[in-house]
Amino acid sequence: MLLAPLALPGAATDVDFTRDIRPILSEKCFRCHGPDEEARASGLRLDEYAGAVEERSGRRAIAPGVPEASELIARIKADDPARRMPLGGDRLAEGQIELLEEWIVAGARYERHWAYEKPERPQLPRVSDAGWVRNPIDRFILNKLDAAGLGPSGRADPAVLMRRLYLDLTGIPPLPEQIDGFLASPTDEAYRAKVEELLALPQYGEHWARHWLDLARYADSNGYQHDDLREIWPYRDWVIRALNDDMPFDQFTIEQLAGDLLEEPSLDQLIATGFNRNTPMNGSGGSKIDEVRNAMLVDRVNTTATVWLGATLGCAQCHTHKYDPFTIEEYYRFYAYFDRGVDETVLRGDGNTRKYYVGAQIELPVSAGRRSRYSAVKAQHEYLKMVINQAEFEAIADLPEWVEQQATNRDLRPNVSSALAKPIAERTESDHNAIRDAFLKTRPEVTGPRKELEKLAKRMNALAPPTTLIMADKPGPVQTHLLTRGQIGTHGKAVEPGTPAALHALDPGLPRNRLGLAQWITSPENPLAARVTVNRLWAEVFGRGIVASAEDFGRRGDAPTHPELLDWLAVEFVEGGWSIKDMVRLIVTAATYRQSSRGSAELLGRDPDNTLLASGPRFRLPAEAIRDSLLAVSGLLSPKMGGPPVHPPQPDGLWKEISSVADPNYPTSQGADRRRRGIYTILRRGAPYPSFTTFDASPRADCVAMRARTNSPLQALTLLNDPAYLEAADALARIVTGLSAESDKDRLVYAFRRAVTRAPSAIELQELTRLLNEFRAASENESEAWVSLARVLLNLDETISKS
Amino acid sequence: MAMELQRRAFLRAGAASLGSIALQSLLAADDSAAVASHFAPRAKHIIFLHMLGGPSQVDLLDPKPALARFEGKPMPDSILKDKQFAFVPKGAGALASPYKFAQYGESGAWFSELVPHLAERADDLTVVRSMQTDEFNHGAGELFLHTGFGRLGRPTFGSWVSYGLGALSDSLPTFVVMATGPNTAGNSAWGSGFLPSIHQGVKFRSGAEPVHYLANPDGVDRERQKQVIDGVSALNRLARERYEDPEITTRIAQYEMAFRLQASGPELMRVEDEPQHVLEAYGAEPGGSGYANMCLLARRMVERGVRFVQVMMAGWDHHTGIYRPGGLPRSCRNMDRPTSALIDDLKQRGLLDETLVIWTGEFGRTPMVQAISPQGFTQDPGRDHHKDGFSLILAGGGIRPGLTYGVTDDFGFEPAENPVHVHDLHATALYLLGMDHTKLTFKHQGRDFRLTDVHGRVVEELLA
Repeated sequence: MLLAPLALPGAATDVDFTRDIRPILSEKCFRCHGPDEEARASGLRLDEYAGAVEERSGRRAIAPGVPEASELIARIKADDPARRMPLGGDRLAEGQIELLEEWIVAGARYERHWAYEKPERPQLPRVSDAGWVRNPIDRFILNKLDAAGLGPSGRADPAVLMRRLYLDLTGIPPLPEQIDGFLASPTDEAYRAKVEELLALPQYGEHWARHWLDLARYADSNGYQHDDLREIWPYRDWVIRALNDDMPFDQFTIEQLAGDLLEEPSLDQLIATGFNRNTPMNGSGGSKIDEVRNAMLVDRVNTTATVWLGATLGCAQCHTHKYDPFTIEEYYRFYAYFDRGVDETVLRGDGNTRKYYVGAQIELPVSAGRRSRYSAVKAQHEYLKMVINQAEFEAIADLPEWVEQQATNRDLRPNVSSALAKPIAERTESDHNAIRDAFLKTRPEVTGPRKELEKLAKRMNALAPPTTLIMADKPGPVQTHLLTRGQIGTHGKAVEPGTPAALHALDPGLPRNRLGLAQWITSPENPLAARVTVNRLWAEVFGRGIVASAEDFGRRGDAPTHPELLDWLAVEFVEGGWSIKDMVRLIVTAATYRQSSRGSAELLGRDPDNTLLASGPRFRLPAEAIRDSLLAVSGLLSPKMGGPPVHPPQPDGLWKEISSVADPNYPTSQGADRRRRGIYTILRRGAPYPSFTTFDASPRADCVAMRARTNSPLQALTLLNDPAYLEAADALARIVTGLSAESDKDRLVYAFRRAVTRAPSAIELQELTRLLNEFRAASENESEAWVSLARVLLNLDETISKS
Repeated sequence: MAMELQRRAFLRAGAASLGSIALQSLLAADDSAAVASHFAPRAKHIIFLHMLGGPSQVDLLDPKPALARFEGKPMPDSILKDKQFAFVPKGAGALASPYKFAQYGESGAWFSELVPHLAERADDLTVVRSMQTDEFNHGAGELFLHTGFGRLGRPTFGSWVSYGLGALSDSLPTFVVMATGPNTAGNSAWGSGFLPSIHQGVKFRSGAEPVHYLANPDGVDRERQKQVIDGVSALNRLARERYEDPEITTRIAQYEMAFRLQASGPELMRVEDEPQHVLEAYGAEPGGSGYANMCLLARRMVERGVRFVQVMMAGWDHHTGIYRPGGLPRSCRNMDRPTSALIDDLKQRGLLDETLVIWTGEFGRTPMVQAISPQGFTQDPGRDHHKDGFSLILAGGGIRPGLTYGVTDDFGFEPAENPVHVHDLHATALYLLGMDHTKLTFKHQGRDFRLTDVHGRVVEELLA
């Protein structure tokens, strides 16, 4: 039998507005009696004290101290469904009604939503066992465990802990030889030294950038029809560099939101503004330019609000927010910051209506040698084009004769034969083009140089200096208008750039552009930026945020499980100079982090989501880390960093499934580029790398603060059958059989440790031995048996998990 | 029961316990529908036939003699108002349909000569002539049809159904997608948006490997694969004892399901196992990859417990040359017989009652001519995208057969009576599956999202 679920942390007899009352009012009342004036029923608003206690026709919704005189209580208790609130909804639970009554008896005190108050550094709480505490985090955790009558778990097995640490700091599990030293003497000092060693590795930035790129909705294509590829990978490399350099988060923020507006911005500061160029773009022929632009601006507003404010500002795009204090006008004031941007879409060619994503971009510097090779190839390319033009011109003289000969040709493409079937006078321009193209394809003096031109174009593109998309504003003033109900073409009231009034004040001295916005966001007065950021770091490590709704710190978001801890971390983050590495270090050196992740039936029953952290984190790795891990375990992972996206092998034809795509052929990479880290895999929104999608990678259609973590049969199929993983099993088998080991046992132990880091138990070793012998009996040779064994190891739950 | 849904909705994407739901939805057999229902369901399956590009309603299902009187003349302003189109300019003339329409069956429903087979089944079908959507471009239109929203990021209809009702089969996916060609919205037309990815559509392709990585790697036979999976499971069971993590139990079950799928997937695709007369009725052929094969496969899937089958047939975007033999007539020829055979086949097997078949485009086509290409050249006439009024066909699954619902104005431009929005289609279909569209919710970015957003009405007149 499972025990009863845990009572709310610290649940005492006192009713707490934030914890007990606001969630009920939010869920049941604010939709019609909240901040949105348009949706407000009977003029009654319950999200503010003044409105709730106001006397209306002799009655008051809330009469502080007297529930019997409070209309709200009468209405939620009413038997008549036509009177009972919420109208058309289920009756409130008895417990909820009692809470509301108690709250009214106690005076119906309202509190401002906790997340909009500036965090103060709280006192460190008392704990039952100070000896367990390694840093302040542990005090907050243990204090809550004490209150719940639970104790922390024991320390994690040193090898399991090393695996956890390597995966959290680099995204790649350790090889046995990398941690043998630590395992021989797993002291606190040795552990801390490991933390420092890993924080300094470049793989740290590659790992943590993945999380940031989900927020930044980074991708290598536009999305939608055509799904044109875009060049913006220098932004991805900038993120990796900035994280490795531990750029202070306030600077990291300012450069991404407004690097272009800094005085004499550096190349890197311009590249950083790619953050907001990562937005998807609908380039289809029928799309309307103003709608396309609006969709991009909306995406920028919503992304910025989610990433730095944990605010669902997007809800205010069409109407004033139903739950949080954001008006539609404030939405468009925020929008106005982005509305000044230069145009980003163009049409190209003869009246074609499909759109291309351009806007501001910069070239990256390349070596003098590369530049001169590029110039040479470009000149050859130009020359060859002239040669081809000349050849075409001369060949055209023979066109009439050719046309006559085609009367009996049945192999023509349908558009050509139908064009030829028409009398000349009725042929359209596209008919003429079709005929001309078909004819020229028969002339070797044209087709030969054309092939050559294609080759040259490939070389030229490879040598061309990389470019990247950046933000830029129009020089003159831009007037933004509110869009009524979010609809294009409803030119509402004129608005100026500004920030929501419910949050900290906007310093009037700040520039009224994105730089001012970025400075407002990074102001120490901001109650949200530090909280939402440390919460996400926490969630990456523990699998769940202190606020579980990492993307929503509003009234309908989840309440923090450890509010004091969240505030302590936020204050520490800002006062310590916004160092992400410091925060990560703090988290991974806490005793909380170093606990065993072993659960128990009792814990599962009382705290199924491990919100109190009575044990360490255990969960499946993100998609990229799974592939990186399997390649690392088998010794195949390429350490090469940065550069244009790579194209590891994937099932045939996926790019052909994108509609009207200009480049349907997937250019599978050769050599080591097939085995680079997942962060370098090309991300085409219309057809992302399928095995990443299967493991819940974001298709980067919009900002994602936390990925889902599912467990599906398609995941099993991928790990079992993707040829890349058979190759990995093969490589792992070769490593293991190549060992100068004495026995099967040594080989099995080593192979198991490569996959899951810890050594097998006696019974696991027995099972591995049995399996190996079973495979031997069914195999033609020894290596085949080991490949099968390696496949087993690469498919284990523990191999794709952090334990 | 309703509580079950709430509990699911309560579990946020990313919570550790999602795996156990996945397990439940995978392994819960026939009774999972009853578990998650708000009402008694009338249908268990949906076959969603999406004609990519948008079929022309005034040439197939909604005869408009008035267009002939206005042929070549601009449509009246009272009709056009300030509507937007993808490509046709204001002032484009009306274009009459050259096809003959007639009434069929006891119901007297109208069909054009382009769809003679469907016409013969008039009394099994329901035509809605007053459909409306919000989007007039393919990408956004496809997204709207499948997710109720014109931009990327929302879950599709099939994934909502998977999320709400779970699985009927322990060896096949809940939501399967097939397509004869590329669609504009790409994977997003069967994606799970912010719902856990276990609910996304699984694309079945023709050819040796219908699902990615379904086949064993080269050199591995089924027996060896079984040995490997058994070995994985044996070691995973030891890991479960070590960590006491229920996710590992789910993982073990998923490997077992994967192994079953490796057998059931190819078996499902073997249309050659069907008798000759069935293949002929559909026009399907062994090894084929066309719409006819997909219709037959859709029936095989439903029979084997797939809940939601989405078939996308390319080739309905007739901007130009609509009346050429290779234009609309060809698309209709390729569509008409297989679709009709599917209806017959489901009916004969007693599956039509529990399967809702939906045939529609992401929008319809303009009653006006598109005589100018996007490049500005004069072209063979066609019709542009049209979102304000189009027709669709429904059958089975608790729909009142033989009904023609909704009326458009004289030009087929927009509904004159009983408009049905895509949101209403979703609400009605969910109702037939036993779900209340206002209660099937998932919390994301602080908001409870629905397939029907804040709209949708169950069109009761359509119910049997």
